[in-house]
Amino acid sequence: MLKEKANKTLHIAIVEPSVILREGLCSVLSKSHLRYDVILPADLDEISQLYHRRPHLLVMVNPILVVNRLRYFMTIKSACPEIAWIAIQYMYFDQQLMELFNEIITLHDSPEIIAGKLKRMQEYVEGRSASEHTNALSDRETQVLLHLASGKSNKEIADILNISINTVITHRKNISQKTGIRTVSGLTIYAISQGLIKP
Amino acid sequence: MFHFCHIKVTPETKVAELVLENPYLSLMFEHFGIGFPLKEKTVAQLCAEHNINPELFISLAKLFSGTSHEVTCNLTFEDIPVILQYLKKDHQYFTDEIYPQILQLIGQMKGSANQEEIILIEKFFNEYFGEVLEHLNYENQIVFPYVTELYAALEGEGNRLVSKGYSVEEYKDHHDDIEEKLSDLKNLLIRYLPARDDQSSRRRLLTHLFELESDLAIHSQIEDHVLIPLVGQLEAYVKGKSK
Repeated sequence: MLKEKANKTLHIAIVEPSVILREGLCSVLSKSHLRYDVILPADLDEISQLYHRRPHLLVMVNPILVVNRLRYFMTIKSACPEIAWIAIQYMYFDQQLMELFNEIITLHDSPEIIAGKLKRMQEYVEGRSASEHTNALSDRETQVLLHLASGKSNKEIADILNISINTVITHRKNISQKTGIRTVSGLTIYAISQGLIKP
Repeated sequence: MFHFCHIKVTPETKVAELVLENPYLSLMFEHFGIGFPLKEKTVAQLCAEHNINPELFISLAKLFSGTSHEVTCNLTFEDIPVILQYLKKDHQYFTDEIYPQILQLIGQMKGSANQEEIILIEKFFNEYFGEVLEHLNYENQIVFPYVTELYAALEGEGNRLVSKGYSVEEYKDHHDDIEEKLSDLKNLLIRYLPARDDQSSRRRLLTHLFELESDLAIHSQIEDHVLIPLVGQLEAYVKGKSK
């Protein structure tokens, strides 16, 4: 079983308009010990079509193709949950933009680091398809959720649970990732529907 | 609502065939003031009849057909009245048609089992739609009259002072995203809310929410990629002229 996993073929798509970067990435891949196949779609539009044929896909994409089409990117991203989005970062991009990606490959990454990142992303997409619906909240996350539902701010929650605000924010991120719900009002209804609090 | 269809839209395409492929296009036609029956008219004929730039028509048809997510046509200032008319009709459609329908369906879900969660869903939806309304009202009261005034100045009604200090830049800032709530609502209905004999009203509600989301996305694309750039150019031109 483990062996089978180790030999699994990675399906990679590189969406990169620069021929130098594109060919460079292909060359790095060809020298790695990964088993993979690679396709080179011309733009993002081809990804959702590809996805239907091959859900577990690692898409390496130049953030410049995303920055002007954020809404469209978010649509594909939510329509194709079993894709790992990997940014090819060669210049400075806004932090918020980079957070939309599951992983970032920079020009300074060694071939080994790139291979490692791709392997982790493969586990991520497989994990997503397997555990999408068994995303139970941890005890701590449940506590944070209950405080949020009762109208407490991040700062108040941090004080009550004696943790830093950053930790509260991380918990909130995880809660939203697991439940698919991002707003406080939405999370409150979630908590009620799960019987965690009374209306 | 966009609907994937790969029929190529050209000036020679028969419009009836477009709608047979993608019924949601009839909403776009309605906003342009085009009614049934469409007979054997081509895109070019229909556009000429209704004074619509065929490039604009084709670009929007592509948005509704999911074959493009951007508007990249060449438009002129002359297209502004048609675009404004279109967006105003779209606003009416959201407020007078979709909103009451959704409220009615939520009401039905409540009726079948007056559960607390549905009351909260109703409140949540109203909060969400309140934000949508705020945005639509802002456009109706500030942006559209401003654009109309700018356009009138272009039409040669003298070098009338257009401004009141307003600029399309402010409109851009005002254009924020309110999609998170809608996405949460869908998630709650699909994943979490316990079933209480509300299967069919919930199904219809979901269909409406998906339509609303898609229609609002198309609406924003038209505003962001058609109206704002065009008005930006018009603004620069008119203000340059009046100097």
